[in-house]
Amino acid sequence: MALCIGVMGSDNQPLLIKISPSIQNPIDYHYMLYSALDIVEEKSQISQKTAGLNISGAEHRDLYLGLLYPSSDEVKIYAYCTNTKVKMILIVDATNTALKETDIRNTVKRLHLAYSNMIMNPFYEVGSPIGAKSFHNFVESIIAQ
Amino acid sequence: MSSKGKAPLLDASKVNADLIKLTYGALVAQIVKDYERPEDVNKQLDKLGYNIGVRLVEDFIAHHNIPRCLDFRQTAERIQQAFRFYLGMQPSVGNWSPAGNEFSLTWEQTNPIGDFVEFPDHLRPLQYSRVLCGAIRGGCEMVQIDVTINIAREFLLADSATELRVKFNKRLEDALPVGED
Amino acid sequence: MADTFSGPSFLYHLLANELSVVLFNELDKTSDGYAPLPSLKARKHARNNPPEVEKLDESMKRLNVTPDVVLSKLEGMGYQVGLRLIERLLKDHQRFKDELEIMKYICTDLWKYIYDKQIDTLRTNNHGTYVFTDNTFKPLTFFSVEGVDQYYAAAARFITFPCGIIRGALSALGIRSAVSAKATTVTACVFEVIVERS
Repeated sequence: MALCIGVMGSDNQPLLIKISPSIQNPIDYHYMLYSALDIVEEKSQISQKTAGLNISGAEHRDLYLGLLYPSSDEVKIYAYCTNTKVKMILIVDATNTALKETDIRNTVKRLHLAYSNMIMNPFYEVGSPIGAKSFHNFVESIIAQ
Repeated sequence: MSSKGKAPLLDASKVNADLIKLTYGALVAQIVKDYERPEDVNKQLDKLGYNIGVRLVEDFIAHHNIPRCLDFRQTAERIQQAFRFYLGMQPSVGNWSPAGNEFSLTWEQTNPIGDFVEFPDHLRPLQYSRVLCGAIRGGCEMVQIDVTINIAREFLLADSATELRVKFNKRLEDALPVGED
Repeated sequence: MADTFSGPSFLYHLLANELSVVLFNELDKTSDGYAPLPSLKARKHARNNPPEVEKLDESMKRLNVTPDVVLSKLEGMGYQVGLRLIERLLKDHQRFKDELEIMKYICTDLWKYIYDKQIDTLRTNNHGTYVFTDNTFKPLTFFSVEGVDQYYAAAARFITFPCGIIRGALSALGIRSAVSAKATTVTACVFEVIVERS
């Protein structure tokens, strides 16, 4: 379903980056992930500021940040930022019209759940690169879908 | 001081099982850092479990108003109940030995105290479930039963389930001197 | 966290009590780790009494260690728990607006999750210092010592772990802080959180 999934920690360090094996130029995707981080910072800060004002709609305090910017014709980048500043970035094929917003929402929610389960492991150091096989397998299964 | 010399009052407050798992996990991670050998860590976990079991059984009895166990099968049922009561993870009791003095507590596809734990390779000798062994041993001792518990299968080490094998040794009499068998 | 199990808190308090006991055992590496089979009298005694805190102080004197080593490890464990716990708890929570909202969350939801009650009072000087007061802090109701002085000395062992939890939770939310605690009267405890200002 996704071309690339990136889980970045609170200091923007990469916790897990997985790219679909069908991609020829993975370096470009790394680049996209990191540039996406700046937008994520901006968006999550805006939502914090506006959350204080009386703006209707819960989306300003939503963890789901949605489509980051009208990107290229090839890919769409979606982001999700938790309260603990862990960011989950999904890069999907723009030509895949079957993919709906709700699917993306559900997927990042499941990613968040998998992350919060993985974090129960006392041998995992929070903020370090993720080695847990179960999490790796889960992310790979999302990409493969 | 509310509890000077008295058992803690029966209180109804609840705590989430996740918190227990996280606290135990943090403790294991800390002990692992401090001891060089996983075998030493296992001993500490066993002792920890024992200290907890010895006190927990009183709380369990107070909450449940149950009569004394008449045989080992009833003991098995109580232990099963206790896991359900405190951790919400009830094991199945089975695999009885022909003599009826040994049984297994099995949790399929999970570990009751560490469901999302993944071991780094160098820690394979670590017995994460050892605390459960100590706790059952301590609890049984307080009701005058001497048992030995072994970890037959460990889900965290890629077995299909977590299985503890509980073996009855003997009844404990009041006259038993300290430290002698 | 409606989907996970909640059991009687007694088990958790026993475990929290044992944390410091285990750390003291570590220091005393001569012990083989197995408690000897106790006599009936000892068993009856254990049944009616929570861990004897004075004995731990004696071991400390014998081994010539300061409590700081153990307390800092306890705090470190609490930190790890707080870090992970807050991630679990906030899974479906909306984004926090500001620091005060985070502190309120800790005093209400987090405290309720751990101790089944809320912090009784939250005060702040609006300049980065927050004071939480809990008038009936559960762990302090569980042990017994001879005499008031030893109570305050021993209480340190039970209030350090929650300090770590608070510090870990705040750290995960991007707030660096120093958390200290004091047992004020019997069963009451005051936590002071000082947020690091850059």
